[in-house]
Amino acid sequence: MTVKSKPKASVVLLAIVNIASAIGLVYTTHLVRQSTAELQALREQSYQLDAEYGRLLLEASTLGSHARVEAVAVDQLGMQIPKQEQVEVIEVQP
Amino acid sequence: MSEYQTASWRFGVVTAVMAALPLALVARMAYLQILPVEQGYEFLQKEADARSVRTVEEPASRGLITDRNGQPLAVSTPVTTLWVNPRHVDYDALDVREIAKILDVDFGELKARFNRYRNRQFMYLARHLSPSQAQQVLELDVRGIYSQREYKRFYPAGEVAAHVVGFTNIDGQGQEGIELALNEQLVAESGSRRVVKDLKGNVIREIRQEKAPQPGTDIRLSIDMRLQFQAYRYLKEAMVRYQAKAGSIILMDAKSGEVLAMANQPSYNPNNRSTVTGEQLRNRAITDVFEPGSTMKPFTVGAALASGKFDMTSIVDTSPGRIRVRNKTIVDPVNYGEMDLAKIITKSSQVGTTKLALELEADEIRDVMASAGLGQAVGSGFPGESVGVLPYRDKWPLLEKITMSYGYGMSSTALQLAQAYTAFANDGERVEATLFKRNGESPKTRVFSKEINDELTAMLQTVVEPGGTAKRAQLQSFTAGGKTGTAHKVGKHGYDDHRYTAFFAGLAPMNDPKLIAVVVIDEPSQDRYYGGEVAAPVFSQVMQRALEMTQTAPDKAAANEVATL
Repeated sequence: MTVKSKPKASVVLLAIVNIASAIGLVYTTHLVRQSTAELQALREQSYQLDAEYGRLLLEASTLGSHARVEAVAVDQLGMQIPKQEQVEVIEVQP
Repeated sequence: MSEYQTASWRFGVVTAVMAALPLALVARMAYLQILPVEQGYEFLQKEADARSVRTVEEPASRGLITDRNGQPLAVSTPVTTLWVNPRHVDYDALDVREIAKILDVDFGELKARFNRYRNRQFMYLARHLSPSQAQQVLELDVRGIYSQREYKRFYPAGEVAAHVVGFTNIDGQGQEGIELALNEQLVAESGSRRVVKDLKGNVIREIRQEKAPQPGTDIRLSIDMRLQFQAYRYLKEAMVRYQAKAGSIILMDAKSGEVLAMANQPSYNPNNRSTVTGEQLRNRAITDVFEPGSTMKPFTVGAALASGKFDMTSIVDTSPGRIRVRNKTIVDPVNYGEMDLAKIITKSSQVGTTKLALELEADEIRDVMASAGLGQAVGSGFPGESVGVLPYRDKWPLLEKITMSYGYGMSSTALQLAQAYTAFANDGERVEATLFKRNGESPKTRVFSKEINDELTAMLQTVVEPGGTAKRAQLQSFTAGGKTGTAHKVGKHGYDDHRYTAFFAGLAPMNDPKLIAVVVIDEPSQDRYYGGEVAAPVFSQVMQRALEMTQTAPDKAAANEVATL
């Protein structure tokens, strides 16, 4: 009896392990798909951000061009380059 | 009984048939999935992969070029290129008018293009679109229109730094400037990945990365954009004022040899090169040579001092203001009479310099100029860099020695001239020039001893003071020194009488020189062509602003004093 029941138990065990591994495989595949989708989305986002950065850089360089900054400073803000007599040189004690 | 026998025979047949069926099934399965036969599993796997496995390209961006403070000068931004496989297009559903509207192109032209390519398999619809513009076309969901991601080079500084930075072609290969010189470092290699895609084109599984994308290396130049802009602006103004043909400015850090600004006229917009000519493309400060003329006189005087045959008290009699050497007469504008060495520089006397040269060996003069870096490549690595000419003879014809002493019969670029003048800012040691941000010590070459250099810088300072040839080079609030130069341009038949190059090389402030500037104005018109008249005022403007912007403490007394001069 004991001799007969032993293989039976191991077969059941193996069957369970087998099914568990099969479900595990399905599950990890699912996880991989999810992660892949997420990776794709992030790649796309990185590309979009890159494009956005390029656009902003363009804008910043247009708005921040030295010619424009100078024109705004002089015309709109009424600024001027300090004249010699307006400059105080301060000695800094080390 | 017989019934039994029949039954047993039938049973055998049924068993055999029943057994054969799964066997056939197994055999078929083995044929399709295991056995290495034609149209077996390998073939089937391949066919399956061909329908789902794709190699996708991963574009990598070209290296960034920045100025010394990290301000971008050349940037790669992502763009989208749209292309068409005309054979996949459903022409009934194609709305060319709509596409033409989005792309802002002529409808008729686009339609003609579609017709022309009708039987081909590839046609660019539009290259380098902004991603949002491309998206609008893709949203029309036309079969046969595909997109490809690429990078486009953009130059935020535009024409101001165009000559230094250069540009790339549409395929991202450097064509000019640093973009060309350092193309190998800047260039990016796109990678590729094998992926499995589903019916909708979504990636569902990554198989492997076949090649990692290799972005280009970033390059940091020695240029300071704030100074570059000022240099460019004053040069451009001068071009209009003197109606000159071309011009260059170099601003150099006197201690490190780093080029802080390098501007040329005429320039061009690197972001839109449809009308660019070769004249505009040249980085004249590096590629164009001229005879350095009078700017070489301080080196001859330095050689005279080093020879021991002259000192600061030596008197040279230049009467009657001209001297004949072989069959050539060398003249001063007026008879300066007796001069000491300092006055020869102050007045830029041809006769005085000639008399010094007559007493010296040609090699004594040449050696000083050679150690100042003339006639040798600066090694900027810049495409088209000129080496200039510094003659060398076993036996020097007398006239050649004389012409060399005042800077003729030789040639130099503006960059070489600026580099040579760093000697005056470093106690007689010349610093190697560079276009890249320097880390650590700059290589130096001794040109003069410190004592001689102190005497020479004092002479250079008198040039911009009252009585000197370049009063207009003086700065509002800083002491300065330098030397003017004017060279006849060489035409088809030797020197051209009416075409000149005017230039000025100088440094400031004199107590501890911080910047070197070289200004070259090519073919100024309007009757003014002397370096002291044309190039010196530009030097004064640029140097004053540059020193202010670099927070240098003024070392000269009140401006109202200057104003009365």
